[in-house]
Order: sequence, then C-alpha cells, then structure tokens
Amino acid sequence: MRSPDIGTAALRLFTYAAMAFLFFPIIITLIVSVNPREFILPPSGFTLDWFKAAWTSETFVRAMGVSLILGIVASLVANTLALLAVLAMVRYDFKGKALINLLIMSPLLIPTTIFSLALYVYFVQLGFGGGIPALVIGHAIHVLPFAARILTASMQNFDTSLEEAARNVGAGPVRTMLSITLPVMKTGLISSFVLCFVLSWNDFPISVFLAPPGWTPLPVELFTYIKFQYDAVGAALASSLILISGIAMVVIDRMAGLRRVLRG
Amino acid sequence: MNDSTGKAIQVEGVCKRYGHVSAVNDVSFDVRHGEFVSLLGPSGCGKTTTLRMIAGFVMASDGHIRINGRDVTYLPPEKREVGFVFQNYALWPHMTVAENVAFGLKLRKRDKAFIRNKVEESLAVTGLSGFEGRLPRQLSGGQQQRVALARALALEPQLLLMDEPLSNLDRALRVAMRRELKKLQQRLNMTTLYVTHDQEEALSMSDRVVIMSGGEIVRVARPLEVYEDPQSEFVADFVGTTNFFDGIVSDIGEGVATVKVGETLTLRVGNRISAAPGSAVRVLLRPERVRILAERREGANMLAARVDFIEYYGPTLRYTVALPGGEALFVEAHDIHGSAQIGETVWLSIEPDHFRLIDRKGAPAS
Repeated sequence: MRSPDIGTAALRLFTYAAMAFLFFPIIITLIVSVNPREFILPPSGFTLDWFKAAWTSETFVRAMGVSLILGIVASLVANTLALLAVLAMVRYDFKGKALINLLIMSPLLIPTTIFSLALYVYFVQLGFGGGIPALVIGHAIHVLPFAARILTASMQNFDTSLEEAARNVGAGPVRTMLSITLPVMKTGLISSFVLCFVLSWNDFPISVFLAPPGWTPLPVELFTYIKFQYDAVGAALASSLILISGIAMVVIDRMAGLRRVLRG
Repeated sequence: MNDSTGKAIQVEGVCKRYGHVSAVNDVSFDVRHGEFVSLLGPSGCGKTTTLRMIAGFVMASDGHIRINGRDVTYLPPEKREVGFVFQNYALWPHMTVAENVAFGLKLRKRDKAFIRNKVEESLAVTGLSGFEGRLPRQLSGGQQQRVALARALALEPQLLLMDEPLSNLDRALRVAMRRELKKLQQRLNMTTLYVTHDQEEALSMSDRVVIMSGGEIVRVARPLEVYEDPQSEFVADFVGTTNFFDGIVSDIGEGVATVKVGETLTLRVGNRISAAPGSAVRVLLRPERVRILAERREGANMLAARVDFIEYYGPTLRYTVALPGGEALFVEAHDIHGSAQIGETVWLSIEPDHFRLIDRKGAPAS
C-alpha cells in the first residue's frame, strides 16, 4: 500500500494543476487588459486605459446594451415557457411527456453552430431571415433546457400542500400561483434567470447567424474587433465580460448555492 | 346555513378510484354539528383520501358530499369554507406567522383593523402571542402546529378538518396538544373531523370513531363501544391488543354460552350475539380483563396457565402465558409487585361478561 501522505499530496498537486489550467487563460486576459505594454509580458505596470477605451467606444457600449436587453428578454421568454412546461411535467402524467421533455432538452444535444445555422435557414424560409425576433427566439431556445432543468428541481422540491392550504383559505388557482407558488420558488426562478442570462450574454454562434445589422451583441462585436485590431482593448472587453459573468455567478451562489443550481 | 338535519357533513356512497385501483369504496357517514369524529385506520386505508375529498383537494369518483346540507361534491376547495390543518402544517415559508394567519382574511377583503384583531385573537387562542413577526422556519414543530391551527381558526370555519396534525410531534407534546385541541374544540363547539392512525388519539378525543380498512368503513361507534365491543376481528386487533380463541358453541344458558376451544379448553362466555349451539364463534378477550391469581379460587372461568414471558411497561406488566392446550394468551396486570415468575403456574380468572363473541364466517359448524 502506498503511503496516504503521498497519495494526498499527488491528488492535491493534480487538483491545483487542473485549476491552474482552467484559470490560466482568464488570468492572462485579465493581466493583458491592465498591461500598458500591449501583449508583451511580463507587464510593465498597471493601466485602466484599455478599459477606458473599451467602455467609451460607442460601438461597444451599444453592443453591451444589445447583449443586456437580449439576455433579459430571452431569459424571460425561456423561463416563462420552462415554468409552464415544468408545471405540467412535474405535476401531471400525460401521453407524450417523454417526447416533450426530449424536445425541450434537444438544444443541448445539437452543436450550437449547427443549431444556429439551422435556425437561420429556417427563419429565412419563413421569410424574415435574421432579425430581432429571430435573435430573441434563438437565444431563448438555446437557454430553455437550462431553465427547464433548474425549474424542474425547484418544482419537485415544492410541497403541493402549500397550494392546497391557500386554496383551502379561499384563494383561486391564479391567486395561489401568484401569492404562494412563485414566491416560494423564488430562489429557483432567480437562479434560473441569472444562469440563462449569463449563457445568452456569452453566446457567440447564435448571434453571428441571427443578429440583424445594427443589433450586434457584444461577443460578436468583440470578435469583429479583434479580427482587425491588434491591441488590448479586446482583452479589456473580454475581462469585462468575465467580470460580469463572475458577478452573476456570485449572485446565484448567494441566492441558492451554486452547487445546487448546477446539479439541477 | 345550518340545515334542519343537524348534519355538518354528510358523506354518501363516496368512492375514489385511481385507474383500476380503488382507494375509497362506497363510504358513507355523517358528522353532526359540534361533534368530534375521528377517521381511524392503518396507513393506506383511505382515511386521508376521504378527508381530502371533503376538503376538495381530491375529487370523488362517485357519491355525494354535503356540508351543512349544501352539495359540495364538485366545488373547488376555495368555495367550501372549511378549515384544514395539514399533517406537515403547510405553513407558507415566505410569510411571517401573522401573514400566514391573515392571508385568508385579506382574500376576503376585510378591513385592516378587523384583520389585525382577528390575527391577534387567533394567535392568543393558540398561545402564540408575541410570535407574529417570526417566520415558520424559526418555530419549533409544536409552534408551527399552533400556527396552522390559528390560520384555520381565524376564518371561523363551521367545520374543521385535521389530517394527523399531531403525528410529527414527540410523544409528550403530542399528548399535551391532544388535550389542548380537545378543550379548544369543546370551547368553540367546533365540528371536527380528525384523521389519525393513532388509536389512543382517536379514543381520547372523539365523540365517535369511524374505523376504516381497505378503503371501506368497518365500524362507526363511540370510543367506549369501539374498544369494549369491537364486533369484528379487525377492530379488536387494530384498537388495542386482543386475545382470540376459535371455538364451537356447545351449550346455551341464560345469556351465557359455553364455548369449547380445542380439546381441553372450555369457556363460559357472555352471549350477546345470540349464538346458537353448534355455531362456530371467535372469542375475544382484552388482556387487562384477565385477573392473575396465585392460587385457585371459585369462579366461572378459572384456568391454570404457565408464565412464559414478562414485559415491564411501567404502569403495567404484560404476561405471556400458555394454557394447557398450548394456547398463548396476553395478560395485563397493574399489580407490578405480583410474585409470578417465568415458568410458574398461575390461575387466570375471567368474568363471562369480559369475553366478546363474534361469528366466525366460513368455519364448519359441527
């Protein structure tokens, strides 16, 4: 038998190596975005010039606004649909339940690029090609399975006697949903919403195919920029995206515990 | 709203089927105004389903349910105006104690002062004054139970339905709450239908007990009658502990039958079912109805027995004894200083009236 000390040390080393591997690109991006010497390492000092440039660029600020609105609207649409679907699937038995579940989860099974191209072709055939509705629908479908998973867990934990108690004291079905069910599921709903928002905020392929001119979300704008410009403004923007996603994750963690949400 | 029949609840031929499975089958009973009735039975006997059908959480497949004479069979729960206390309390976790109690009053659009008074009053009645601002998770099980009760009482329901409300409490609290609940029910003269699997609860609180088994009612009677005269093997076995003997009636005297059990045992048994000679009967005997004697005396039934096992329960001792024919018998005695030891022979004295006779269906008559 090996000494447990060596085993523990090896496991620890491996864990740190894996974490370093995962965090390295993020750290490099963060370093580059505050390094005065464009892309030349080691950094020669600290500057927020790149951030300033990124956040004062009209193109990028507009793209951020687009991403923000898109993320919120797509998450709202996806969560509303997911909530209704999950209500039916958790509480009732009906024919075709497995099939509907598979349909909701199917965006997870198809590579996003293929899925985006298919959506684009489909919308063109319908006659409106890329456009704001197409963009919102695309993002909503993309995040729908995540919303469905989180809300399913949340709904399964929901004690239906809470609703019966409300009906018993005189609340109708709608009032019960608004005053009892949704507030009690608040944690799950917020977690689901934030996760969907982050996924939409970071999405690239769907937006590339479906975003109409003048409505370019941030990741696409960023890609266009770094294709032609070789400076650290891109890195500063990427850092901004990382920070915003990071904040969102902290919010989820505070609300619900990240582990619970990801286990879904 | 009180109708002339004086019935608060009328359940008439109610059935509940899930697919081909019958959970409740042709159940009928009444609850009178001001009465405390228990639905008692083992788990899965259909008692909770019956209660939930009366509250409207489950729709009856067949039959009718009337509350104060009004047919509510197909009404949604919010139209039935009955109080309900859930086994797990079902307090809304995002609302304070006061908000939980006030919710139903707010739905009825009562004015603020009225709601405040009513909430205060309901919490005072249940001993929860001062807990208004707490959240349910900050309360103990017993306190949560009281909030659930206060929430139901605040609406002044004419009818209170309770689904094993005490089963999640520890024993001491359960017994205390049982007494409190009963006092409150009497003070408010609240018609109550109470579901429990705990025979002690049912016997101690109820005016009448409805005993269910396999989705059907097997007995409706006052607690004393249920215990003293079970009338069926199921009731005798489910409510308390009972000794059984299968025998044949050999002779009939004045109100007393002689029953032969096996080769060696003859019992003189009070005959209230008018069993005829030759008929197969089952003889029931409560363990506490047997007197243990150190030596033989005169009596209608004086049986020698060997002590096989003794269990000490605190207030009582339970002996497991064997009769000469091999029949095992439970005997419960209060005299804990009794000298009987395992392996000793004792005498059992049993009054004829302490036996209960029931028909043994399907047994061959000789």
